[in-house]
Formats: sequence, C-alpha cells, structure tokens
Amino acid sequence: MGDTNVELQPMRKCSAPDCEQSAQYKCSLCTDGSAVYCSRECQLRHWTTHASTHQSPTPAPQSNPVADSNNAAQAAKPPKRSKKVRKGTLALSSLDEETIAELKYFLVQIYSIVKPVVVCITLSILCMRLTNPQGQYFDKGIGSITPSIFAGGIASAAGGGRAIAEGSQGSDATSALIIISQIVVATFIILALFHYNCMKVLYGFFGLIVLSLLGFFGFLITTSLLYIYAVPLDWISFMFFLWNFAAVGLVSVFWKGPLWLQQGYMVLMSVLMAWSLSTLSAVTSWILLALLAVWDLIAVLCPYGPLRLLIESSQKNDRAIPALLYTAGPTAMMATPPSKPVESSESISAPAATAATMNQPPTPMYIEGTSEFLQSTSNEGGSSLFNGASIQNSEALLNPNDGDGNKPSSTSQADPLVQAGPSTAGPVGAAVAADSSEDDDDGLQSGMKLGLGDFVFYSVLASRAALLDWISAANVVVAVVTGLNFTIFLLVLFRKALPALPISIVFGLLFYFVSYLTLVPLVNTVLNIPPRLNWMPVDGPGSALWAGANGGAGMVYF
Amino acid sequence: MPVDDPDKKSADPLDRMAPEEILSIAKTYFLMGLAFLPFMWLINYIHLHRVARRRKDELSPSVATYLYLSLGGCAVWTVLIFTWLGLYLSKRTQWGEFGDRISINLPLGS
Repeated sequence: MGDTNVELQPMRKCSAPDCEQSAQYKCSLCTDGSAVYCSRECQLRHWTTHASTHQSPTPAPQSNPVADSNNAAQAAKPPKRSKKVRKGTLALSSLDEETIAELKYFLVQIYSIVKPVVVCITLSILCMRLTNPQGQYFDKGIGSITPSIFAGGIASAAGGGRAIAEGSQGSDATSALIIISQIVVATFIILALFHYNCMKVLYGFFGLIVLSLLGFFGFLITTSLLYIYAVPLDWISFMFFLWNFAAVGLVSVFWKGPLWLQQGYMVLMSVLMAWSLSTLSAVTSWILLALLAVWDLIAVLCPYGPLRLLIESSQKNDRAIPALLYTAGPTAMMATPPSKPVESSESISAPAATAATMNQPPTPMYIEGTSEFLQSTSNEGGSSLFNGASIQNSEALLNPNDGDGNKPSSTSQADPLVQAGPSTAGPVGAAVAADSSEDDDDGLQSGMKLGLGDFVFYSVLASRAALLDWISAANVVVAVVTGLNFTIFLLVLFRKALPALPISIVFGLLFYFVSYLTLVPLVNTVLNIPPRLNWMPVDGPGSALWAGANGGAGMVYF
Repeated sequence: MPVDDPDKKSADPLDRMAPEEILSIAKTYFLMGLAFLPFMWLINYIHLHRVARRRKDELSPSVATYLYLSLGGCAVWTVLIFTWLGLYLSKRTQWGEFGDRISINLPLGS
C-alpha cells in the first residue's frame, strides 16, 4: 500500500495558526507544498488567509476544501492533477461544471461500490467451486451442471439440469418463471408494507430473512464443506460458531454496528443467497437472469414501477428502506452548504450529497494524507475487511483486466478521504437485509447504494460461469463490473435511480456465451488439452477448484 | 468562510454521537454477549475502544468497564473453545460412541 505516498515529507508542523501538531496533509492546490495541516479543521481555519496565496483564483470561498479524490495515482500528484482537471474543463466545455464535479464524485463512489461487488463475486465463485467438486458435471457441456452434495434437501427442488441434452427446456423456463413471479410478488408486498408504514412488519420480515439466510444457509454451506473435505468438527462448537455468526450479523445489520461489519455481512449474505440459487439448473439460471434484467428495467424505469415508487416514497418520507441496500460508506463527500439550492424538479432523487457537490468549484482542493494515516483510518472505519491479501490475490487471478478497480492503493485511498468529509447521514439505519427480490441501485443519500439483489445476481451469473471454466468466469466478472461502471456513469447523466442489473447482465451473458463458444475451444486447442481428462484426481482438497468442462481452458489448479 | 458546523467536524460518526448513545451501545452489546456470544463482545471492543480512548473525558467510565469486560470475556471464551476443540480433535477416537455422536461427520481415515 506504500505506493500512494509519493510525496511524503519529513514531519512538519501544521501551518494553521496556533496549532502545534505535526502535519499529515498538505494543501493540494499548492504546487510547492508549503501549506501542511494536521486536520481538516485546521485547513478550514487557515483557508481565509491561505486561499489568497494560490495563483488561480479559487472561486466560492464558502466552498469546502474537503478531499475529493480521484484515483490514487492522480490524487498522489496534485499539480499534475489540477492541470489535468483544467484541461478536462476545456475539453468538456459542453458539459457544465456541475456535471464535471459530479463525475469526480462518482469516480470515488465507483471504487467503493466495485470493490464489494468484486469481493462478493469472488467469494461466490469460491463457494460454488468448493461445494461442487469436479467430476459430476465434468465435460458435459453447457446445460449439464448438477449440484452435487447438499446437507439439506434443497438440491432436490432444482433437480438435475441436463436441459439442453434432454430437451427439457420447458420445465426450466417454467421454474425460472416461478422464481421471477415470486420476486415480483415480494417486491409488491414490500412496497405495500412500506407505503402503509408497517415498518415493524417490514423489520420483522427482513429480520427473519436475514436470520434464515445467515443461519440456515450458513449451516448448509458449512456442513457441506465439512462433508466434502472430511473435516472433523463436533456439533457443540459448530453450533457455537454458527450462533455467534448469525446473531452478530443480525444485530449489526439491523441495529448498530461498525460500518465495515455491516458491509461485510451484506456481502456474505449476498454470497449465501447466490449460493442457494446455485442449485438451479444452468438453463434456468440463464433464463432467470434474462428475465430479471427485464424486470429490473420495468420496475425502476416505468412511471409506476414498484421499485421506483419504493425509492420515491423513501425519499419523500425520509425513511430508509429497511433492507436490500448496500451502502458504500457514510460518504457525502462535501458538506452541505447552508443554503442549498435545489436543483430542478427533474432530479427528484438527486441526493443531498450530489446537490452539495454541484455547488463546488470545478477545482476543489485536495487533502492528502500520508500512507500511515491512510492505513490507520481504513482499518478503523473503512473496509479493511476487503483488504485481505487472499481476497486480493483471488481478485487478481480472476480479474486480470480490471486494473485500477481492485488495487488496494486506490481503495484505501478512497476510504479515508470519503470519511474525511463530514457525513450528512450516519451509517446507522441506512442499510439492511437481503431478499431474493432485487432492488436497484443508488439512492445516494449517503453515498452510493447498490441493491443486494444486484450483488446476488451478479454472483449467480459469475459462479454459474465458473462451474464451466475459469476463462468464462473471468470474462463474466470483467463484463459485469464494466456494466456496473457503465450504469454508474449513466447515473451521473440521468441523476435518478437506475436499474443496475440490465447492462451488467446483458454484458455478462454476452461475454459468457462468446467466450464459451470461441475462447474456450481456442485455449483448449492451443494448450492441446484432450477433451476428456479422466486422470484428474477426484479426491483431496483443491480438486473442486479444478476448472471443469471441456478440458478446463487453462487449467487453474490450486 | 468554509462551513464550520461543529456537528460535522469529525470523520468518525462515533465522534459526533452523544455519550449516552455510546454508553447504551456498549452496554447492550455487552449484555447481548452474555448469551454465549463472545464474537459480539469482540465486535463491541473493536468498535468502541478507539472512541472510548479519544473521548475519555466526556464518556462515562462505565463505557470503558463494559469494553474491558467484553474483551476479557472474549478472551476467556477463546481459550475455552480452543481448549475444547483441541480436546475433541485429539481424543475423539478414544471417546468411542460419544465421540461419534457429537461429530458432524465421520471422516474416513486414511
């Protein structure tokens, strides 16, 4: 993580009057780095006198010199960066300054959203591979994935999926339709409960769902892992661990808890949910995902779409939707100015944070921290959970093309800076629960929000692809993240809640089938892998991770 | 002048939280942790120990008490559970039927 720290200087005293502390930040508008501060407050105090020393007239002195970071590389070089911004202003002169400031804000947001999505997808893929030891669906082609071992009986519900081979597409489509209609009905029920303010019912409902997710599916997945890998464990300590896991999750998600814990549990719940959907046959999954994309589009964008109504009523009544949303952080990069000019009526869902951003000058100041500070803060409140080395390794493995989104430097850069901004809304109560019903992203009241349903179905897509081979899985992950970035970009342009599923799902499906039909045979031919590899060891840990169908396309084996 | 709202000074929301609220969080987490939930205690300590040190003067001393009780309880539980796991894993085969009954699965020997 040391690479963010390009201009570490020997410790200096804070430039603000009557402050004796050592400085950790510097004013990033100063090219010579003469002004350093110990905290944001000191910079604010010093701002009135200090602002005049800048060459460029800094507009709007009431603006907040709060950190607004772009990616790590740029933020680490303030002089270059501001030049770049100015150039950008020229080049994009057709866009107004507000939009540019907003784009910068969204850049930060993208990292804080993409990171958990990638973690979630990676974990799902791992779960899927580990609970489905290779051999059963081995070399059977696209529609032949049969989930293998489950401690409970849920596998029977899905049946074996040899859809294409046996031509039973009718039943696959039917089960996809059944699931989607359940989701639709659940969405309407939630909307009704929310509309009539039955918050207690809603909380009870979601509490039940969260508890059953964490408890029941946690139970299923751990017992199947224990069976598969023949790990001895006694019931007493197993129940003890499970009880701790589920109870802490319930309390931290629905009551108060550290934000990183809430985010971690959100991701875990999505993983469990995606895993429970993995019992569907392959064709059912594909049909279901396509239908979901369509449903998401309808529900969010139609004038009376249920999700749209849900979001609007949540914003009107200033109530958090007590479920389904992953909150990226207690962000709100900029302070809300006292007199906040309301944007046009078109932006009903333009959030406070965004409205505040619009008042910023195009070149806001940047505060930079030393890397020590970055680390300590990201451990404190950020998502240090996501910085685990192993997770990053697997991310790197699965996601070689998705360069800057996953680098620890950029993420750890984003977190403290995000935190440095005064938050308009605390983390508490912002985010809760999961459900099989999908929700769309971004209420944006305190940072960007992504529905847990989106996490779930991204993961379903990727882990389904991972059952076939690793190349398709990597392709799908990249495609899904690209789609997500695209959605966030569109969010800036349209400034209203957008469905996060359609673009990602379409990209993912497209890339999956293209790579399945072209890339996998190519790699297999190049590597000269025979189509059937019966000599692969079936037993032993790790064999489940062997890339499955058609010789595996590259054969990742660990 | 930049906005200088005293409410919005700090990065950590815990710094802006009322002392009573922090006390109630610490207390509730501690009490819930009594239900065999050392993980809850651990979270309680991790979540609050920094703010407890930073705002020592405003916070009631019982916050620190709850936090240290939580940490201590968590340590005791950790020792207990690992002792038990060690016992189980090493003595499982000697316990005979009882050992089999409390096992989730019976791994085949090699």
